[in-house]
Amino acid sequence: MKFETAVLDQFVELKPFVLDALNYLNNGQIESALDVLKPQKNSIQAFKRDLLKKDEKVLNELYVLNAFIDFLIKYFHIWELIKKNKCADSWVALQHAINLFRFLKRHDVTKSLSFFENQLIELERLYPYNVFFSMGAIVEHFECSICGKDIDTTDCNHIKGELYYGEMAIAIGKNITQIDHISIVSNPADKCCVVKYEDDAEQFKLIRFLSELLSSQHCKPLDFGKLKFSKKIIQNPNYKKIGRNAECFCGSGKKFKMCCIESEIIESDHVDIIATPTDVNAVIIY
Amino acid sequence: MKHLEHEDIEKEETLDDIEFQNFIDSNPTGLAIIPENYRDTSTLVSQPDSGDFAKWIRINNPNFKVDQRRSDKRLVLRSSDYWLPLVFLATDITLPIYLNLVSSYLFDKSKGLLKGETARVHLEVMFKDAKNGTNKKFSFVGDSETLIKIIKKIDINKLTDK
Repeated sequence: MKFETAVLDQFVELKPFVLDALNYLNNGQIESALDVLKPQKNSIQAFKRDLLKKDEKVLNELYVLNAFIDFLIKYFHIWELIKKNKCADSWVALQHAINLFRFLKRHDVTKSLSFFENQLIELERLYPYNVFFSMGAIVEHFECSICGKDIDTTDCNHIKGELYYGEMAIAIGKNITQIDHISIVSNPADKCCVVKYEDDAEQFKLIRFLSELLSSQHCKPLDFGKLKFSKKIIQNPNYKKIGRNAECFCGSGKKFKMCCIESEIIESDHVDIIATPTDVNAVIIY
Repeated sequence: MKHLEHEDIEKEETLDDIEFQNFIDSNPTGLAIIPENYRDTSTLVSQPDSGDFAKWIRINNPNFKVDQRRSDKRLVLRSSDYWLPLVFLATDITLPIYLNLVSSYLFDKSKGLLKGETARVHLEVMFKDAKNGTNKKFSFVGDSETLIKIIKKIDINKLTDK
């Protein structure tokens, strides 16, 4: 972790709580994991309140430390929702966790968190989303959340997404004058804008399978590792042996001999979820 | 007016061409960020990352003069791509220098990307080819790695001879 001020001590003090929470998570006690972690945000607030001198670097590092806890909380939520088969909500939690992780990465504190990066990337691949909705609009200007001035001009000295005395500069769109279009894109700013499937939909089959693995303790959250996509030869579950000249069972209207007669054995997509036993102490490198 | 990607295709003169010629005629230095007409909007609109890009240049390359033309409205596109403005280059900034600037900007903005992700950029730049005196427009949509390859491929002698 890259903390260079007194915040480093705060981070070190946090370590036993984080390890406890990760152990709870791995043993299926996600509520307990959250109970351990959430009060730590209050400790950071208390530390911030008691600072004698409001040093910008210290305040910014506290913001990052707070984001680190928020990230872990959101990470636990992902597993909680997957375990409860709340597939659609778990996608949203995953995206929130990824956004927090991006922030941590941008502020150079994630070299020791590569375990989570690999896991988040693999988790994303289990979901059925490849295209997303994206809005195009026209606004009058963007107001800086810190100074209130137009963030795109030299009147404002702040840069969007950067930290200033423990506060992030956010560009707030003012007066939307026109919603121009909604487009379908593969690389949206917000991956939560998707077609929402029901939790029991075919598209979430892999998430429900992971949920089963978690519930049966065949795979613990921290052991979830790589996905291996492959093709497998299987017996066609829809295959019916009928007369050669009969109408094909698939509904094509063709004769069976001209259609699916050769499809008794088919090639099917297959995914292996590879679980690797993980030492909780090695998840975060302090 | 010629596009770099299609050297053999002659283009009709557009408002951008006239505005660029006016810019060059004013003997400017540095670069100018130009708001554009967007689809059916009646006013000039800035591309989503215009302001951020201009501010980034001023902070990281204070030697470059940046003339940020005022626009009435801002375009918002909820895509993770970087949408840079149309830029006019004065003769003291060559195309490769400008593209390197964009590449550094993308590198800076890419710090939050996950493994395997790349930043995509949309850009348009107009410049005067010092060798033959013609005005040219370079348009690019793609990732930062491709942009770096293009910078290396550009025949610097052809584009930057003064």
